[in-house]
Amino acid sequence: MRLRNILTPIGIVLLILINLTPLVWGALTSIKASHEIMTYPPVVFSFSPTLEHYKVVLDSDFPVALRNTSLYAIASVVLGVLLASLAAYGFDRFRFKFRQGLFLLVVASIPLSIGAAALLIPNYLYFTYLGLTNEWFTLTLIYTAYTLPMAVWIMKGSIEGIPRELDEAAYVDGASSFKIYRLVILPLTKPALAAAGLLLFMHAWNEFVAGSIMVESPSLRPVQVAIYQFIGFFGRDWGPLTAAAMLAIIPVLFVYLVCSGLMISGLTHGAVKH
Amino acid sequence: MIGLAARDRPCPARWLLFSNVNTMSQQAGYAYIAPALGLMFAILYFPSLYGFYYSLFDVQFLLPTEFIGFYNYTVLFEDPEIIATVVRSVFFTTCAVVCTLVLALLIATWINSLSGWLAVFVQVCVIIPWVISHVVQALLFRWVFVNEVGLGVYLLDLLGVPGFSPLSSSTAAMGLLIAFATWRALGFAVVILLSGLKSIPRDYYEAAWVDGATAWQAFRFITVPQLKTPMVITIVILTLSNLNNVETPLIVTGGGPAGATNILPLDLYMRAFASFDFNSAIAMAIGMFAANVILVLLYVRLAKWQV
Repeated sequence: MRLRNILTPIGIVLLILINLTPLVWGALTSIKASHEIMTYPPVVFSFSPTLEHYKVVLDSDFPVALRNTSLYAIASVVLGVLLASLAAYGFDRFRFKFRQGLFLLVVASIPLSIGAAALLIPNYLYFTYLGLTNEWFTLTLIYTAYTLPMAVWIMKGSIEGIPRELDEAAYVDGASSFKIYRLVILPLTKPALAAAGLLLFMHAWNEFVAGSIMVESPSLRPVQVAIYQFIGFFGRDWGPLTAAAMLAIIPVLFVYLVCSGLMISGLTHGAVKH
Repeated sequence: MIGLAARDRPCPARWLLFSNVNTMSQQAGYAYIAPALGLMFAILYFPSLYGFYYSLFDVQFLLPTEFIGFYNYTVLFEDPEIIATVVRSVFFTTCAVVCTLVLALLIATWINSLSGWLAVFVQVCVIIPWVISHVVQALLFRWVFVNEVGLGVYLLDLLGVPGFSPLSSSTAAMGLLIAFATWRALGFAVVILLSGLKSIPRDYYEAAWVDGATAWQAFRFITVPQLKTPMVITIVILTLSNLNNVETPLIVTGGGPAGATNILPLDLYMRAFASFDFNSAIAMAIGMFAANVILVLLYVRLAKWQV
């Protein structure tokens, strides 16, 4: 028992150190002056903080990319949550032909979406053929479609838990099925809506490959692509690079820290059903 | 109006037995799932079929010109580099998945033994790298390790590995890539395994304890068998993710030195968007898609889905 009392804090400190060092080091680099960044051995704390790199980044077209990604992410959350809750309601409360098969397709698409690299070349050729690349809605549609299967499954799990007697009571009172969806189902599935929305947000905010090939216009460029292009542009100038990286992760970190419980419940849903 | 309202009524529980004849309810059901499935068909399934069709043509300037059957695939397989790339990718994926799984299992078991706020705190910290984008993760990793003034290089120097420079040795570059992939996905694996651990009834361990089992025996004969499904699902997802992630090799090592870390997703990305060789890229994409489908089938078999 005593050994354990010593090991636990050591374990925690080690884990946090290894896990968060690149992040903390990036944050420190972003507020150092350029000459302090390139010193060896590295200076950890004794330096005079400066915001010059953030100024460089904010004066470039990086804010446009931040705005684009915010809009893509918000649109993807709204569209994804709406479509997923409707579909989950349909799958759970109605009986129709091919219901099993179609739901199987949804479940199979959860891991399929991870294989984005294999999907993207066909997707790119197809979208080019239809003339849908480089539009303001291109990335929102792709992001939503990739996370939608997971969102449907999360919503389905939540709607299953709502007693059918509530539907029936509303039905006896003359409510249409859409009214039941709106007034009974939606208010009772708020946590699942939030969990699904969170995953949609994270995916839209963090996605890189689709963003790098589906849009070319700088005014449509998402934030991850902007950072990648900074690597070529600033080269070995790590101040602006880390500053841009920090600006790009602040929203995600904030959202994650506020709703980490929801995030974890959403994540585990696809793997182990409660 | 009354007719319309009756049309899309959901079926109350007692109707479910007769639901196959209840066409009204059928139509409403289709109406609710149509928008979501429409989007998925348009973006996930249809392009894949279209991509397969494309792969049978000679693609010039992004358009199919002449039907050439499986010629694109033949050319791809005759590429002298492709076998090496596949072997490298399998090696990378296997190592990354094994490292992630072993570490995640240890950490999850440990977090499971912590109590209250401490468990939550550690879990939140472990997941943080996972919520950050691959681009930023890779960028930060590069800054720490692939740089003569990097902090990681300095720390390795203190630990007795002087002058760590991954891009000058193929072993070091591959090692770094595996380390990165492990770090990147660790949080995800921990979350999945931890929730699996929590679902194992405490009684099992108590019974084993009463029977005099050691901690290792309890782990070996209770935890591992009970955790089989979440473990295999984690393996499937990690394999898919590592086999398809472009950002990892693109940013951490750029495929170098001399192609030592050029793995399938990077090769695919470069063929299409650096060399604009869509003939071999589309054949490769379809091949990778087929490999993904096999993993997906495994996932579907394991995930407890029902409607």
